[in-house]
Amino acid sequence: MGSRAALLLRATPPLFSFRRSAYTKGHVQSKRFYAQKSSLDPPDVSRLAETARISLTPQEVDEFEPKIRQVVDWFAQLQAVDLDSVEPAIRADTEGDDNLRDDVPEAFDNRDAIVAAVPTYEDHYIKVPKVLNKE
Amino acid sequence: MLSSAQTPRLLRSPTTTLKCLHSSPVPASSTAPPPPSQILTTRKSLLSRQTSTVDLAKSFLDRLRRTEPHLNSFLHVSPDEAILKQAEELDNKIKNNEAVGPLAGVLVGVKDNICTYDMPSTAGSRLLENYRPPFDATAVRKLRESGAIVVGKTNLDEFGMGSTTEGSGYQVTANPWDLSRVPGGSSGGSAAAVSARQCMVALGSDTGGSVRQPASFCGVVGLKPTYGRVSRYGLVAYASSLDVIGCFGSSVADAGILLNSISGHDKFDATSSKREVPDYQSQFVAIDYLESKPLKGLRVGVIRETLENGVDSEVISSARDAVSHLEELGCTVTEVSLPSFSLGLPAYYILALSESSSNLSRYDGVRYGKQVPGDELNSLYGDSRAQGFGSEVKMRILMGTYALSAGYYDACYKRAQQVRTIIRSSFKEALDKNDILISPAAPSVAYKIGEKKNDPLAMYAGDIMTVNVNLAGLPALVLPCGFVEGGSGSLPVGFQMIGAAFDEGRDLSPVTDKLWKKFYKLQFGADSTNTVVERMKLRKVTFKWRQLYEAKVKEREEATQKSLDRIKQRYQEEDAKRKDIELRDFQMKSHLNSHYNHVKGWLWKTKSTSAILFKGSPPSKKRSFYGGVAASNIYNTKSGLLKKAKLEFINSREVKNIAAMKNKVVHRNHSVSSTRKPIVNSGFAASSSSSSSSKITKPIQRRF
Repeated sequence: MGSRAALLLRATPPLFSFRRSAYTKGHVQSKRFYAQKSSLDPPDVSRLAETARISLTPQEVDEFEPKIRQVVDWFAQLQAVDLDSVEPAIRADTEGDDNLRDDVPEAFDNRDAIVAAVPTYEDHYIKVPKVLNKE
Repeated sequence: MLSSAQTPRLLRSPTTTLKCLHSSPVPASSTAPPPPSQILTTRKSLLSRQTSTVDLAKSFLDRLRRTEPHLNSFLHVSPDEAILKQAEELDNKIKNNEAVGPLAGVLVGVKDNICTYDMPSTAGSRLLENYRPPFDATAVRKLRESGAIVVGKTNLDEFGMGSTTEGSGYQVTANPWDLSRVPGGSSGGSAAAVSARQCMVALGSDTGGSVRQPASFCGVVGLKPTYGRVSRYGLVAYASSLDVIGCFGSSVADAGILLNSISGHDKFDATSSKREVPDYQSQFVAIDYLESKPLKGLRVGVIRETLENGVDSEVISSARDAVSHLEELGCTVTEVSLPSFSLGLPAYYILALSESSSNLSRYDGVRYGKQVPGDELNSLYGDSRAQGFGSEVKMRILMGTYALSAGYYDACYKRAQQVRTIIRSSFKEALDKNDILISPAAPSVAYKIGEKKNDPLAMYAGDIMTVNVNLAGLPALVLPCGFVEGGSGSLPVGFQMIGAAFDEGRDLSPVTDKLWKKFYKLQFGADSTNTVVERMKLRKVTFKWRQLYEAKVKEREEATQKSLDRIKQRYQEEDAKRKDIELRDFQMKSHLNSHYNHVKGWLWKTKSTSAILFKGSPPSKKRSFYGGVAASNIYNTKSGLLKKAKLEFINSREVKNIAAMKNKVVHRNHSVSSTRKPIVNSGFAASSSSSSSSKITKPIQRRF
């Protein structure tokens, strides 16, 4: 099952181009697997964890590293596509700026529920530990 | 035990004979008769007092309790008392003939990443354990306003990340068709709940196929609306440019009615569309009214890349069967190629993971959620997140962080956005030439629990059919289309219909113009249809038959109304006239009476004279406005009065003459001409005296 699904992960060959005349319906190259060489640095999982503010145990780092590298290499196939003249799309549909509401503040009517959800709340303050500046 | 319960309602075998002319005529309304739908039958039986909401709720809760230990599809079930109380309130409303919403009495399951004010909303994560949102999501609020009852919150992959529901922080949901298999993800709980009839319909969320894939695995209808159709306010954000709230139902009509209730613009979601929501319910047609080729004119494109290698052969054959069935129903099927199709998957994952890494940065344990105390802020963040998130979520956040880091943004995120543009335009091109695109909903049937846990890429690969639709923001509907042998029994397979943006109506009910023409004929006769066709040809214009049908119905109604008004008016006029006549008669008679009284004093005021004078009393007030008897009554009374009075007069004179003849012989003419007045006087005198005498008997007492 897994191997069959892996067939789906092969993208069209790198000669793909958006220019209409040059659609190539080539067959999949058998030697190329999804582990295509990425031109980017391999992910440093511990540094990423620090950036994302998640404390990973060393076992987790070991566990995640091959999987993350696999997926990131898979992402790399996008680099092979010729995308020079294409506009990046922020969203699926662009309805324009007329969807903005007036900048009029409204008081939310259920502040008690918001306050009740705070884990450490003491007398109008949300309690947090000290903030250290890392130099 | 559960796999025997449901057969997909939408499976129609090709040998079903569809009647061309139904025995009873099409009802005279501008909307066609609806197809079978659990929501509508429930509503009908509730409003006609056949069942009560309390009984209905009890039966569903019963089934839920029986199946829940095996399925584990609900993370939180509303307490019985709360549900039954809402059911009772609805029953009272129905009893008092108050208006109830379109989803009255419908039991809904809500995916746990959609906020509900009165129930904990955890998004499947331990980090938000027991979190109670301060508000209802807009979709839930609209559901409640329509009269639906929220049964509980269903299980999901943590934060919507996953395709199996094994990624939930709480429990693993089982597929009702085979308890050892996954129900799909991430809305697996909702799909399993609807499939096992624990609730009637359910809400889910679809970022990369999270509604459509579980719908296919569990054999129910799953609908993903256009991005922006339904407000995302209250939906725990996974990837903000791709998330939508979708519907599960046991029939297409149910999914459509549910979508109708939750769609619309919301000022709290800037990405929600201001476009008007068409009434999806009115576009449904019962299958009995369809002629043999109801889908004629519908252009269907089968996406070639979805039927190539990598997809299970049984799934391919199921999809091809569905396509050939559509062809039998009259569609024109072509094959469409979307070469950028396979690029969609890596692009989707880059976008989704990057956006999720940003969206999930708000879970810091400070303002809500579980907090792990630390001696400084960063360790508070780090530990709270590390202990709250599951491993899949952590991996995805890390991958997303990588894709967004400085130096990699252009290579990863920006390129993915460019691929999104390509995919959008290729879909748009394909949808210009076709009304609907078709593909299988997933490359396989439900797989075993634990099969894909260790291979993330294999799991991601399963989303190939569905992610491109999210990238393009198009609506898609998944219908069960067949069964595949596997495991302990047969497993359902679904196929996906993709439509143009905001064109859910087409997905839900591809009824063409020809059908409306047929309705027109049924309702108004073949002659009228032919005249219309000729007229259109003459003037070289074409109208949609649906418009013509509705216009004609309106015309007919107006005509009937007008004729009714005219009849009413005529009777009113005649009423007025009759009253006038009566008044005149009364006046004349009273004048005569007063004249006689004046002449003869109290002698005339006997009962018999007054009876004779006022013989023709005014007719009773009761008359039928529209009956034929009324008219004749008027005419009877109008001239009848005079006639009667005249007759009376003549007869009384005769009587008087006969009486007078007994006393003395009077010449006829002489008596008439010369003795008119005296005759009148004496006549009445005679009658008055004769009424008291016993000699003259019956003629006086003659009644008419």
